[in-house]
Amino acid sequence: MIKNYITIAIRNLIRHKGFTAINILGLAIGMACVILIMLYVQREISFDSFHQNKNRIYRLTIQTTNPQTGDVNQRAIGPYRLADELEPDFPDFEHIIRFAPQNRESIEYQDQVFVEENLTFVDPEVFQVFDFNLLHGDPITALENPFSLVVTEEISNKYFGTSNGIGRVLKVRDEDFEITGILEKIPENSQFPFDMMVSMNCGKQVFSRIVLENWGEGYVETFAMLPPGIKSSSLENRLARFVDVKLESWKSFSPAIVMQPLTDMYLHSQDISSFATGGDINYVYSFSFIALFILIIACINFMNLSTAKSSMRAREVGLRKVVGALKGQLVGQFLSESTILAFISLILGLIFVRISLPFFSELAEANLSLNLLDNLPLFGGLILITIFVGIAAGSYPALLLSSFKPVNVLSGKLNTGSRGGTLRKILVTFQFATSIFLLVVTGVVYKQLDYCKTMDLGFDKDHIVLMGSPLELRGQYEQFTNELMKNPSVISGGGSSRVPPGRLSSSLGTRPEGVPEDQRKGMQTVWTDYDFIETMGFRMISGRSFSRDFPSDSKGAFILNEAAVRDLGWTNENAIGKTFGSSEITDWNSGQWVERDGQVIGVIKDFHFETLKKPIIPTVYFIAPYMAWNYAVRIRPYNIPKTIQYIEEVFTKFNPEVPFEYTFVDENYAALYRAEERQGKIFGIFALLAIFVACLGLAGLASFTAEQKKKEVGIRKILGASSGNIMMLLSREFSLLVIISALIASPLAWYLMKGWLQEFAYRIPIGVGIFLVAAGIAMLIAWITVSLQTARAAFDNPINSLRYE
Amino acid sequence: MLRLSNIEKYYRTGLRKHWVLKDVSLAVNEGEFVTIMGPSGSGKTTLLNIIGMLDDFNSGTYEFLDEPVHKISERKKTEIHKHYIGFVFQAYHLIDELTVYENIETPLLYRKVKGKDRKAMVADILDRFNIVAKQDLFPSQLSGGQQQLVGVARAIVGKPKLLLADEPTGNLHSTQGEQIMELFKTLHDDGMTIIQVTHSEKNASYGTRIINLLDGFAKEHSTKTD
Repeated sequence: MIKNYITIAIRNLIRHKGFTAINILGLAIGMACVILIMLYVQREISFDSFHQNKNRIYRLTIQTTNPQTGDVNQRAIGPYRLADELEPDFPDFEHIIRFAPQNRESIEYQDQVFVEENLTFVDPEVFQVFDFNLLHGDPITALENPFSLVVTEEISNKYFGTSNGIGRVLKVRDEDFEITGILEKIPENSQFPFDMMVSMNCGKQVFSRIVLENWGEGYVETFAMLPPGIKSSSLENRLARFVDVKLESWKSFSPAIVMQPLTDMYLHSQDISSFATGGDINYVYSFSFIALFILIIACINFMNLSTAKSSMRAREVGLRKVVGALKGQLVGQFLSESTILAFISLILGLIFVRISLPFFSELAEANLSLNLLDNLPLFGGLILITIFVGIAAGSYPALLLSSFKPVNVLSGKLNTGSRGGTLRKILVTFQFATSIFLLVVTGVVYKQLDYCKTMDLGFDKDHIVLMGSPLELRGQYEQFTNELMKNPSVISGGGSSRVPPGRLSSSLGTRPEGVPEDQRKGMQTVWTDYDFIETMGFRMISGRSFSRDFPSDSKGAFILNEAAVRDLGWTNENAIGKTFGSSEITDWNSGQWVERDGQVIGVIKDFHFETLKKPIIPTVYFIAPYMAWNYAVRIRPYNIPKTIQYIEEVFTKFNPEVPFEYTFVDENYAALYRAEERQGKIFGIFALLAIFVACLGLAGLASFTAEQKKKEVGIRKILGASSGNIMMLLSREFSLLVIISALIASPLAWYLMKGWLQEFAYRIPIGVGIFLVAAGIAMLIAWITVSLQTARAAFDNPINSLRYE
Repeated sequence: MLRLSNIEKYYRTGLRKHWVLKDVSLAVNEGEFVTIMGPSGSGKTTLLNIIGMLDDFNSGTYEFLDEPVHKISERKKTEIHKHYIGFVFQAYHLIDELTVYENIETPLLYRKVKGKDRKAMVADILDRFNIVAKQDLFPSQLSGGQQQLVGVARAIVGKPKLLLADEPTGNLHSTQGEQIMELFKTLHDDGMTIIQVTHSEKNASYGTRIINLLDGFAKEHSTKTD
């Protein structure tokens, strides 16, 4: 029986080549999308899932709430001492592991300095918690010694020319470290991409006192492992009490320690500041939905074309019934046909994936590979999906066809083409609604990003070079700047703690004139040096900028932005001369905060310091060179490489041991919206694919309609209808469907994108225009598709279609 | 073998009933070769379809091999005509995508006849109808007479008790028609019960009994006794 099904299925597929091609191509595109997204999702959820203890490991994050704004801040990067303080109070933690990753650590070997990007300091018990394997060396004792170090084979080869460099010595931070283990390469799908692990036991010798003792300092990420069967919630109360005692001084920020499961770390950390950048669960969801929808669109093609062409099969159905087929057997036959089609599509889809995978990997910024035999979950999943698609797409046609009454179809009484017409219209509407929805989403994303990128930020962001500024340099800013200025291509330079478009995240208490102590608010603070404001080109709206001509400026002069002045209830004019106070650290070794009081000397015109997702917030600037750990240089727009080279020379002269590293402000701005841009691109591609697949189906339907109306068209032409009239007649119905689709899709897209735009403090309005454009594009494409199919009917000589009547 | 009593069939158009069959009663015994005759639109085909359980009726009773057809389920009906009834159509109605061999084989597949037996049965019929050489051809490659031959072969391959034929020679020219009727006669001689619908007096003469339908009323016209 099955053999008979397959025979007739294949003969049918070959006989109706156009129909088969449309279905297979559409389904294959749908399958390809599903496979790509499955690969992507599989990778995203696989991060750090190889650790056997993964369900027992938690990352300890510190959560604070800004009492004024209510903003919740969750940080994984926390203080070094947290682990030591926790240990006596929490014997429940089997192990507490700190990681202090360094993305640029200088390593000395045989008088040469190398920069390593994937080095971390880590507590010795790391190998008992995480599944990082040692190829050589004892995992229990390897990092016991304060000056011990494990490296991967690759690193060992790089320095010592042998893959097993145990016993060799490297110099880190002026101390000799002995290699005590060879680390197996850590899988790519890990948030711990380290190739060098240094024992944290050397911390007391190599870290500064601020790092070691200051609770507010973020230097490590702390992980804790619970015994089997213990839930993290059972520790909540005790953690809260611990925080109450240890972080008493932070009380107004209602601090809390939140235990984040290791399994959540990669996809659920967008709002947590941490060392590694993770994925985004929202991408996983939205991409999965898109893939699903394209697959549904392709299935709908199959359903529509099968039911539309059901007249061709009706006689066969009738006959089979007459010779004794049960309804169930016919359903089985049609389902096996659609399943065969689905499997052919799967194979073609796999070929599409092979071709497009490199491109998609780049787009999704994930290194994906298709290896069905090594990837049984994917293989099994695909087989199941294919069977499911075969059944889903085939079920309606199968039920419809198998319900034909033989006496009707055999006597030709049944106009089978009109059966399921309403449902067909609903399904086509669904296809176009989905396509228009995706088009609108893409359009809004692009418009918003364009708005962000072209908006006037309030200063000139071009040709500004940024670099990190080590402590030694901060004491010699004046000399450094003067040295740089000797090159005529350098316009100016200045140090600052924060530089656009970075985050402002130093909220400090202030003492503004006339505000009672209990009503004072924290304010974002930027510690700068002279010339920074001029270098960046921030505009003063009243008063003056910092100047070396006023010696008092270094002791207590404050510049506020307009937002701060407004927030304090002052005006730009009367703000000048008011007293103000804030704090800084002057002695970096003691780490003591020193209060600073003085007067407001100027007001800066509001500009966008942070991404446009954030509103402009009250900010204060004052001179505190030791806190200005960044340095900006504005250069002339010609001979840039030469100028950079000059800056490097000067930098190295002042800081011989620090590698020179720089970025451009405008490039940093461009990078701000990279994630959104990527999302927009993927949406755009999928939207086009959706429309393409929908139009494939439409083309099939249109040719079918044209065929059905051949006689009507012939008669109309004899009665004097022009070809244009006929095209109109044949496209009218589809046009109406596209309009209905637009009406359904627009409110949904509007609602979704309104939500998405909430992420941006500065956003575009969603006008009617974008919906009209999306509907217009869909209409145009649909119209072209239909016209190509109906043109033949419209231009054909009517005699041909009427001859046989 | 089968007994129809007071069968009525009508369509409603608005309040009016449009009668197709009115108070038709009919009994057919095993081994009979019955011809249903009547002008166009007299309801011959409808009556044949009702007998073949392809169509429903509005009132009356129908017993087939002592089963009350008016009471039994669709599934049971399918079972009955799968095992006891074969059909031959005016327009042959072969499945275009299947070869001659496969067309003939199809009813056996639905009866779940084992592969080996199936082969033997199909081979037997092909042989009997002298179409072995054509077994791998598709219907479109055959003449009308040959197609109808395959249609009859398909109808009887499962050895039904009752063969129903709706104008089996209507689309054929006379020589081919005679051939098919001769075939029917042979089948009848071998014991098959046959009911045919036809316009042709000549075809009717092959049968044992003629029923005339006139505007939905059945009239026993003549009874021929062998």
